[in-house]
Amino acid sequence: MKRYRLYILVAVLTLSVAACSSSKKGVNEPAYDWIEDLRSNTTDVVKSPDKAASILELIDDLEIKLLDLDRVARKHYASLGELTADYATDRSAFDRQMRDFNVDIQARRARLLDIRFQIKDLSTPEEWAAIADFDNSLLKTWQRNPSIPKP
Amino acid sequence: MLIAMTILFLHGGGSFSFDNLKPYVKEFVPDAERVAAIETVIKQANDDLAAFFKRINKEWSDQLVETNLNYASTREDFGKVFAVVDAQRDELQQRLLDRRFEMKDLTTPEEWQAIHETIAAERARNEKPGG
Repeated sequence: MKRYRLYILVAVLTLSVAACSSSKKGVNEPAYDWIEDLRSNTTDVVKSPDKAASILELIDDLEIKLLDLDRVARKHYASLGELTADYATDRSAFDRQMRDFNVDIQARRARLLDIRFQIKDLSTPEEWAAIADFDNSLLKTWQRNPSIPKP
Repeated sequence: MLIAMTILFLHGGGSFSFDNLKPYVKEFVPDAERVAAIETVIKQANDDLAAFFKRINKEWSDQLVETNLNYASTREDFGKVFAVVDAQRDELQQRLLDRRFEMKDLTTPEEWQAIHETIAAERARNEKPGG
């Protein structure tokens, strides 16, 4: 069942149906529970209040970027759904849609990497080891039970 | 950050789910042989996905974790990790696109339209608040 949920996450790029949950979070609620964990761990690990505040701002930015990604992805999935439903769609239309989206995704990934490097540069090697180790453990946990991004 | 980057990868993963088609294929395609052929394609697509995720979870995640953990990692190091998985993603996208066209070619335009209109209607119902 957990694997099925992972499939759902990626299957939103489906040719036929975007199977996203439609539940919505309030504006003050975290979009991703794991980001809250990341914030909490950061304040535990980084002893300088100024540095911790700067890192927390970057994590806020990370969250905004993910919410924006979710919006863009939903639009993309809707377009793919329309292409799929049309019997006459030729392959080039799919290729174009996916190529454009993949290019967009790569640009977004580069911006996320920027955040990763900014956080690292604000940290000492010891602090980074603790942050990255925690980040890694979050990834492993998330892989076992991924949640669908919700706007 | 790692989850974020993984989510980004998955969004770009170009994966397709065909399971949702299965019940409607039986409903709208009257020919048992074609239904069986379409179900075979659905199974192949699911197998493609399963193999892809198995590889990703086993190989790619560990590389990403190691690269992230290393204080000295450069953007180029991340680029190498992503290049491998991007290539696999592109391959999967094309393979699943092949499956989509195989399935479509096993249906008539009317059957294909009926299947997708029914799926769209069901999705609209499910997306209603509280639905």
